Amino acid sequence: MLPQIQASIEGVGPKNGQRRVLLNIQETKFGTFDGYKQSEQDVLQVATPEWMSGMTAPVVLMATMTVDVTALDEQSDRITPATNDPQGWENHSYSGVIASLHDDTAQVLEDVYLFDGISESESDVGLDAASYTGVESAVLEVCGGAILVDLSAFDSELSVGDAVAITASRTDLLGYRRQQL
Amino acid sequence: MDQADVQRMLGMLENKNQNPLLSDDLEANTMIKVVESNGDLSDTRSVVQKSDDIPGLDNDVVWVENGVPGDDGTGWQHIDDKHTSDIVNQYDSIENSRDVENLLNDAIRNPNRVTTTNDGKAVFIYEVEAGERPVTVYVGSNGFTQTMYPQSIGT
Repeated sequence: MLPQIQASIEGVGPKNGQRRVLLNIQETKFGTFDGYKQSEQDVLQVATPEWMSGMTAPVVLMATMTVDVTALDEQSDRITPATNDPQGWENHSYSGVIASLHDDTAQVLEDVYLFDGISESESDVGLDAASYTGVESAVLEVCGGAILVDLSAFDSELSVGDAVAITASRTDLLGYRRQQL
Repeated sequence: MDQADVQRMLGMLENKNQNPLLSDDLEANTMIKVVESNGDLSDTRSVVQKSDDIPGLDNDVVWVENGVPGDDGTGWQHIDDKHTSDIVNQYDSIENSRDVENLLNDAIRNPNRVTTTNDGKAVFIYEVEAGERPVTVYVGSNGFTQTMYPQSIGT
């Protein structure tokens, strides 16, 4: 099942080769990296258009690049934005429980949609999940939803049910689940 | 092109042999194209004359300016501020900011693939190391380099 988390979109930054999108999840505000991604229409595009600012949507997030995982003695369920730049996309922490592990992230990225460049009334564009073929990941349950954790550069063992805190140098916004917009 | 631009152009051409980011065959005509494309020579760090027509570009010149740091910034200072750490951690062969700028130059000069975005940018895709995700360089249609970062991109 597609990992997703309900978020209010509180800010959509300029599109300078990427876009910074400010989310609010259960009263926690933090920035995410909406980089250009391969779409099913064979061009690259970001996920978030300006018209989504102010909307609530099921968003697909991936904690990626340098990922640090700390085992927790007790379960925790929170998102902790980076203290020095909460509205940036760097070094946010996510505490929750590992729900599943995947050798091929492409298999869990079905029905992820990108809306930049189209109007609200037009049809949506799908993310080309093949970009994530062979990328190892975990699904972390947090704050009433789930996010992906990129494990491609992570060597240690993780198991389903582990309570962990994850800090990622970049939090990517991969797209949105269309059906619930 | 004003007198100050002419002086800057002459200075860059005179010193191109000492600057590894400028190729030996850089010509005045290339620098003039940067100015005609609304580039700022006083802020320009490197210029590449492409030999082929590049999809997404209005002409065949790509340049890098110092730009603006920060999350919503652009150009070299943005890359160094917001992406150098990830690039250094991602690739064993890249150790510092200077390596990242050389990587940017290499990616523009010799990309493995060039594609476009839905809003008309050129994207240079460069395989840095086997088995790792590539870096992607985003260039506005006028040739101005906006940013570079590692990204999973389909073939």
